[in-house]
Amino acid sequence: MNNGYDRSRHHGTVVMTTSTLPYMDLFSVFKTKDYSLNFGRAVSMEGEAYFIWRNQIINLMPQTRSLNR
Amino acid sequence: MSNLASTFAISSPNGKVYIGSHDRDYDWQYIKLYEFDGGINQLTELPRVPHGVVTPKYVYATDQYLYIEGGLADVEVTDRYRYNLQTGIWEKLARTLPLTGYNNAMKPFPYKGGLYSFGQVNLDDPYNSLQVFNPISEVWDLVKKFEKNGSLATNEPLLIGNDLYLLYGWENLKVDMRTYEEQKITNLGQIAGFYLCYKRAAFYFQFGDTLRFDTDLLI
Repeated sequence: MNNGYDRSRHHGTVVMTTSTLPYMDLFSVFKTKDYSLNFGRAVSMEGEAYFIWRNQIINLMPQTRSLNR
Repeated sequence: MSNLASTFAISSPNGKVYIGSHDRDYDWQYIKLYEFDGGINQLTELPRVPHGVVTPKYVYATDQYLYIEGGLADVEVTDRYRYNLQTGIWEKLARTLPLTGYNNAMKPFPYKGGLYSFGQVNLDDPYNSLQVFNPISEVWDLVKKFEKNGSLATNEPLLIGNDLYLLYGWENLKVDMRTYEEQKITNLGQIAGFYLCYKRAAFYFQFGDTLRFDTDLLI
């Protein structure tokens, strides 16, 4: 099954480790009028949500208030 | 690197996030792959994906493997690879994808212990399909083809309970995952940007604004 492209058993190179991630409130993260925000990607898991934008991984913390339009 | 997640960012059953990045400005001929562990806030670069695809057709993860399948390089590629998350070894799958002639990525999502995928499978057949992943044979089986074409406006399908929300723009769909019955949603207005599903609620991001929509209002 192994095609021989990469037989390394190393899981890789640590690029970044921080004690805390940049934090942004979910409702304020897009207040910045920066079109490049539309090229970011949001990822959610149980109890966690991240927004990956440019070179940053941002810890999102959704609030409970609803802003229906 | 100008955009860490320019190609994809997916969550995995192991609680980690897998990120693909391709940047033509840096003349990369392949996707750079990263693993983000939010428990220790650590970003690790993983061994590169073996093929030169820069826009994969499928990217998804199981407990054991990260799969990157098909897509476009200079030409369409049908090779499928899986990365063993325990050993850190790339393996080529024996079965390839059919040629699709299309570069729109499928959108995999987990549901009740299974793995599903939604999107346009083939250029010659623009209608959207729901597929389910068979973890034994490692192939995608058709569940249902819908009378809806076009590509989703969302980064991922939104699953809230048993309801799958497929957001395109003007006309959107809700699919009951228990019966696969579909229902059109037309009162959401035009949408763009992307979405995040978090704790059974859906958040809508658009340039300059962030909204949470109440799914009770969608019908």
